[in-house]
Amino acid sequence: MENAWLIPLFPLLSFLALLLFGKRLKEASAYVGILLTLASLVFSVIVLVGRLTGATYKLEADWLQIGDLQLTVGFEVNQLNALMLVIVSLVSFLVHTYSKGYMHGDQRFPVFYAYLGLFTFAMLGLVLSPNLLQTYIFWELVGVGSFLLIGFYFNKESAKAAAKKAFIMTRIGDVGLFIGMILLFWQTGSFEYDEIFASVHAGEVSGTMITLTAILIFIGAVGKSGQFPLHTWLPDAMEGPTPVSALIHAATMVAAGVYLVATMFPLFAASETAMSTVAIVGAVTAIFAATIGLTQTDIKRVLAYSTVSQLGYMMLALGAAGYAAGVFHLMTHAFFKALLFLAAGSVIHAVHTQDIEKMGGLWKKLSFTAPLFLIGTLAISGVPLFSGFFSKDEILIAAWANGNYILFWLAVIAAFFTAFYMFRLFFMVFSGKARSEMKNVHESPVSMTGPMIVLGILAVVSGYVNTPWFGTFLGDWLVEGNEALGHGHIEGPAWIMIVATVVSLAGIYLAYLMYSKRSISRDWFTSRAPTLYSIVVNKYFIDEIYQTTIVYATKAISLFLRFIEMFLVNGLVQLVTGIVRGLGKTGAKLQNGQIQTYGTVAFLGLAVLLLIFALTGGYLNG
Amino acid sequence: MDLETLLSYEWSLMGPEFIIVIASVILTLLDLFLPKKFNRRMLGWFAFVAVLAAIVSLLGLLDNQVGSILHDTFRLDSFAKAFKLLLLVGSALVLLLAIDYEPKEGLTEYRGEFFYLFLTGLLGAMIMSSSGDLITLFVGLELLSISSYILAGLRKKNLKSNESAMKYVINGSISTAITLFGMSYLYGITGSTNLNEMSGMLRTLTDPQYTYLLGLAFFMIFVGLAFKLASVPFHMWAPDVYEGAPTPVTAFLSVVSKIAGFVILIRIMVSIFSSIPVGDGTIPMLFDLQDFIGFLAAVTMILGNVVALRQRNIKRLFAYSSIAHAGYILVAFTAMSYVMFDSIWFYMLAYVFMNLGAFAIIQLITEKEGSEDIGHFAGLYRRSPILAVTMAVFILSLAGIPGTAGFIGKLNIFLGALMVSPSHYVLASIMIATTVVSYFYYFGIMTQMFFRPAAEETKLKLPAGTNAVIIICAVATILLGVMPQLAFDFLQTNFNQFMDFMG
Amino acid sequence: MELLNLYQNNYLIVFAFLCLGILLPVVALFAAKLLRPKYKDIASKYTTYESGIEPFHDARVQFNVRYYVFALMFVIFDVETVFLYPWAIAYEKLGIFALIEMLIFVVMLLIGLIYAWKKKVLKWI
Repeated sequence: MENAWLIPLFPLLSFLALLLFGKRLKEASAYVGILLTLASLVFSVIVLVGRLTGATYKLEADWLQIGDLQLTVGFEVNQLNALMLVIVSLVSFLVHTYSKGYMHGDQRFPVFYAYLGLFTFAMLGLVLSPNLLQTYIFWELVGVGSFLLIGFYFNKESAKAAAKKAFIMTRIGDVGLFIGMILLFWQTGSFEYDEIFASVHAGEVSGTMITLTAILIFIGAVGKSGQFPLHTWLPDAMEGPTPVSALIHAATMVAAGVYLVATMFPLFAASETAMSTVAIVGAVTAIFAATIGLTQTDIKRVLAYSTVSQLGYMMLALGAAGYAAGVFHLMTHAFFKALLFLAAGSVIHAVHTQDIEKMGGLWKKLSFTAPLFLIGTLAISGVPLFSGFFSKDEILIAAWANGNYILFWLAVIAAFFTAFYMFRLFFMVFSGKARSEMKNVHESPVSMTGPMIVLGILAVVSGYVNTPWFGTFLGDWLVEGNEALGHGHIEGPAWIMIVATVVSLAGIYLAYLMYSKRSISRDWFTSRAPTLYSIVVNKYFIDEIYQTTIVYATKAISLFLRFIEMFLVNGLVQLVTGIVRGLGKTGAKLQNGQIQTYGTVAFLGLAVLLLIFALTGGYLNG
Repeated sequence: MDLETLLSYEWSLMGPEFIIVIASVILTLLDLFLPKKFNRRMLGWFAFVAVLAAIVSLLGLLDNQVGSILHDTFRLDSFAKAFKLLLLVGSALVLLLAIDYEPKEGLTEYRGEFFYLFLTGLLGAMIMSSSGDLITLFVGLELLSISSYILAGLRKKNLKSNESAMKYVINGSISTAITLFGMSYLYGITGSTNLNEMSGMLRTLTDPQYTYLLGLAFFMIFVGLAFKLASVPFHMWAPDVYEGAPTPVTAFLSVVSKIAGFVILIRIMVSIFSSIPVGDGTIPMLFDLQDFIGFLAAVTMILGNVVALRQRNIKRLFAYSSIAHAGYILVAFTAMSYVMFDSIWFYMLAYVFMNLGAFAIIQLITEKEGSEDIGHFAGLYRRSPILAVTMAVFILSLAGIPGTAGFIGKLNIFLGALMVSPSHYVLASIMIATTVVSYFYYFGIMTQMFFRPAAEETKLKLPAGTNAVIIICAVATILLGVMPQLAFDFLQTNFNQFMDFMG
Repeated sequence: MELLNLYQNNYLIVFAFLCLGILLPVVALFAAKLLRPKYKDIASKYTTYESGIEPFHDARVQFNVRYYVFALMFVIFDVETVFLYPWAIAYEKLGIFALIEMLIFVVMLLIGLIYAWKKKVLKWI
């Protein structure tokens, strides 16, 4: 465990090596990347095993002294870190392997692997950090890596815009994190997690300050994890290559926000307001994104909205004091969502389109991908015996036990939606008739199916480390030796599990009826709309859209929410940028090249200063 | 005064200055008498060696106690040593760039002039950093200014260069007039030009009328010196001058000249205005007027960063970015925390490396393309990955992304602003907000380099000097970002927290 | 305090002069208006006054820049003399230090002269 610091260095080495020799290595670069991430994975597993049997390990050294402030660097291996290390390095390793097939023939193949190395380095470094400052540093670096990878297809205008958007949206969150971090430092005199928690525990920080800092830090997490209202960058980020979406926008980076909240959990737990903020934002995001997911037709965008929604679940869990549940779902989600993305990538690889309206009947043609995709879909839908079932169940129990009944029911509805749109996706892609234009469809190479199989197995079995039936090993282990984290397993009424199962099966059945068997027409909602939906329809919809689009009520809500997203959230962002731009314009206009103006500005400035000075000092009237 | 007293002075304190002045005289004569076909770049190497020698001689003086000669007009305290070191290092790097500089129409017979004018400018800056007297401070300021006026117009056949020199001279004279006017008030009230004597005299002043006059002097000096810092309200010249001046001169103006401006500002403000009691006599004037400086710093940051958004010309863009950086440093100056010297010094150190590194690459590209449009950075990653990555390092550092020197610099300033009581929350928030705005234009360049196809695929040839600058700057930027303690240890061991600034 | 009053009183004189300066032309022109014959509008009234001679071309003419350079050179050496003269008078008192300073000063100006010479400033085309 003493050598845990080596883990992030392997990908860094890969980045540097590929930067220098990438051009010469061509596609052999893949092996460099794969081998070095494999080394990381091996070390991570060793560290995890070490932590399972041993105790928390922490090493620190002095880094910087400003006045009498002492800053340190180091690394720490506790339960959460060790678990995250394995998740990150495993997914990264699998994505590295997968990309060998997926990116085959790309002109900038070595560059892609170099970027992957940089990102993995930053993510592993983030996970190992024992203090806020170091976390922040890697946090930014992760953002840079993501920026480069989203914009990888830079010939596409949309990819460029998406990269920029992702960077700037997450930056907005980062400012919150930075201010929160500095404030915490101010209050506690340290960036160290342990010391911060100790002084929070000792009551050295006032209640309002705890709430304020926790919420500021949560804003950082909101940006990174694509929570409402800073989520808009995540669907756009799907412009990046699909393996990147699997690595960054499903399993690792977006989970960093959840990880941050989990790491800072004792701080959040100390403030009632902060906790309910986290829970509410999480629940709202879960239902909000799930609704939008109902109508998307781009295979990756559906997955992106489902990611946003699932991250909302994790936040809800953490906010509802279900620390173990949140982390557990983080783990299972990493596996099944990575699986779904890789499988989606495999589909895209085969049919060269992302539009699910154009797909269909691929079940027979993609004999490996299709069952694996099904496993992922079953897992995310929360079908019993799959990993997602157990973790989602834990979250629902936590929400119930915490007394947030409204949030609980929101989560249940979101679960229904999730099951529905995921199977809508599945049926539209794999069932039905094959389209005529789908020729030359062939299964992906082993380098792509291999990682998918590994993830497929994990998507099934990873749930069994924490079940109400066989024991809650993971949860108990995670909170071991730290009361601040709450209980490893929260007892809840048994009917929750039944409700969850029923809801997800209902969602699947509805999707089956609508999209596979087609016994229910897609217009079903419009003819037999429940009152709620018809109100929404009459209110938000006008006839023309009715005519020209395939009309159904959910789409109305979805469009409406999309509308909020586009106009309210983006509008706000645009307003701010507009003001900044306007200021810039005025400033540039003043810069007219006339030297008289320059002198005038200087003199005017001086005169104004003197005037204010005279007035404030009261020198003019005596 | 006889020969013995003359020799009894500790002339060795002025060692670095002597080296520079002698080198510039020799260079002048060499340039005049050497045959026309002699490669004038050799003179550049000579100047470079002279600057290195000055650095060595300065390092030799590091252990010296504070000393002053010539009736305190020349004073070598830790402040002087620390900032002189920055000036010299910055100049050495700029010289390396200048040696490789080759504008479209050529520099022909003026290349030699560049080097000795450069050295006299540097001499002015050095005099400023170790002067205990208003007169020598002013003479140093003028020496630096006049040299840079000529340097800005060195491309005689280039209209823009002429325009920039003209604008620089006129604005410079206005600023000089204002500064001098402010100084004359100080002299009028105290009857002395020696900084120590003045501060001693001013300590006993209580009459509010005098305070008012001193306040006027304060603002005039500040606004006058704002010209050198390129901060509000005297910032308007910067984009025009930066754009027209030859690239190494722009680098010189944005780094060495700016450092010199801060040096003289701190010297005058801290030694004089911090000893004037205001109101009931408990707070010194400098603290009383903090809000004004803070306000100017805020406006400078906002203006620099916001207007930079609209620039398409890379040199103009960097002019605005350098205005913004002046604003950041002014935040540290406003806060006046006890780590002010350290944080300003570190920020400038970081700034020297990141900005000069960026300018090295800018010079390379603009020279190759013959135009300064940002578009020429498109596809740099394909043309030269190493160059693009190093440029990215510099830009990330300028933007203050963690892992680079720029981040540590900003963090220091930020902590300093919050450390004092009352804390400057507003100023700190403005600093963060404007930093975020700066990402837009910094990342605009990044997008160009990484996400755009190259207009042409020709390889870029790296001259040795530029290459050296890029490597040194990149290594230093990352090293100071990862192990900033190196620089702080150096400060701690050698300068003892600048305790001897006042005495 | 007394010093300050003294200082401020000095500006009274400036103020008096300012008033005088403004009054003088105003009074003179106004008196002229009272005394002069009635105003007639003639075109030649609007031409430039050249002491009675008919103006024949634009008043702005270009001089050769060398005039200025020569003038500058003259000023430099003029200043040198102004410096040297008092020094020579007080040489006994100032001693060796001032001698060395003067030497440096003269040498610096000498370099300037060499520069001007080499750049062909002293030559009339």
